[in-house]
Amino acid sequence: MTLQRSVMRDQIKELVIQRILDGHYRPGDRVVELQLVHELGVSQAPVREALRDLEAMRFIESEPYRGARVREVTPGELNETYPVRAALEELAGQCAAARADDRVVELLEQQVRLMRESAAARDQHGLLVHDARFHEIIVETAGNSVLLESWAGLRIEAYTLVSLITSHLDLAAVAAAHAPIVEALRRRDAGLTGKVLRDHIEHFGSTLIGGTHHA
Amino acid sequence: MALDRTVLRDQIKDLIIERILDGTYASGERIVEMTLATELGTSQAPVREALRDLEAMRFIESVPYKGSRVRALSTDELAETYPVRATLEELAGTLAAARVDDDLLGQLENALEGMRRSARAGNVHDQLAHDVRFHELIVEAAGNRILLEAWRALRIEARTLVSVIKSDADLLQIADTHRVILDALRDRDEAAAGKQLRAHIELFGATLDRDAG
Repeated sequence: MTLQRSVMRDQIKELVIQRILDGHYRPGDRVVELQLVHELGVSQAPVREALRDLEAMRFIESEPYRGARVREVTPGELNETYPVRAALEELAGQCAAARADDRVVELLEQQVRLMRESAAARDQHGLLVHDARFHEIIVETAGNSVLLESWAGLRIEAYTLVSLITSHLDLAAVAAAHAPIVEALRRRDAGLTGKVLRDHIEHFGSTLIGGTHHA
Repeated sequence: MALDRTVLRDQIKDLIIERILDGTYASGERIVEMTLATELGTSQAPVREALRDLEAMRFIESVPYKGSRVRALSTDELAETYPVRATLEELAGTLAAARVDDDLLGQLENALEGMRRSARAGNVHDQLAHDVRFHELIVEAAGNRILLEAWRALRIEARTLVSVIKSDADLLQIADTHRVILDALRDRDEAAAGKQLRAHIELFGATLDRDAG
């Protein structure tokens, strides 16, 4: 394989998530590092790293002496994240609008630019990272540590990854969907920023719900 | 002391929280079980239990071989909890109103009655337990596990306790503010249930701000 290790790690991660979502791996099933190594013809390092990432994302759990097992991840659990995230980001947007200075707007524009570049390169992971960072900057700007903690607990990265994998979203459209949020923040319009963020999350929530039904 | 051990434990807990809030215990300061027991003239057991509770509530943290230390907890952190809680409970109320049944209404009535009973007896701790349970019932009824998890992570009980200690709120009046929420749920009015819950939480957030300021 000519792939770089980090790319490999990401691909293994996606493969395991795909298998959890399509039922190939059932809740409680063991995910054996060596088995994946043999099956994929890769070294152990990227598999181990992928499993560690998946544990942090709570797709799997590992128990001492028993190895890694699949946690129950249901489409219901995924769908339940969206209304909570929409509510929290609406609040974040309202608070952030009053505090967003030129530097914040610039940081957000930079993330949108990076999202567009990732989309053009068909780099799903790059898009995911910059998408998550974009939203995180807004929640950080809101200046409420309890809100940030609550939002971080939603495992945004995990769910964004799942929605990208399952719903075959148009990557360029995902990147472009962030522009109105930057515009609302630039105008320092609290009500509008909250609303466009809520709409943005709810839109992708409904896309995902549609996507998992077909999966 | 004529007090029984659970009451003692609660009183020690309140005392420590008060000292953290008024700055007597600075953040990072050690709280020594034995010193506190000597000062209060109690045995070590209720002090140890109070410290364990406070650790679960994340007011203090224990470091191996170094004992308990006060965690940084600012009025800011408390004030920051309210908008988040208001947001989550508005969503909970909206979802719960569509799923409410007689069983839930009965449990909410019980919690409200429990609040009133505790208020009349002047029992802040019981009042708080029923108050938290009232809200938890609604968040559970919303039927969204992610929402419930996010709500529980706010440590409502710890933070509500602080608000009650800090403000000399009238307990019976607090109990009665829950009535409009229950009415909205009984009417299965999603928008009203969400709105009443948000207003309820924001009111207490504002009370805290006023007392802190």
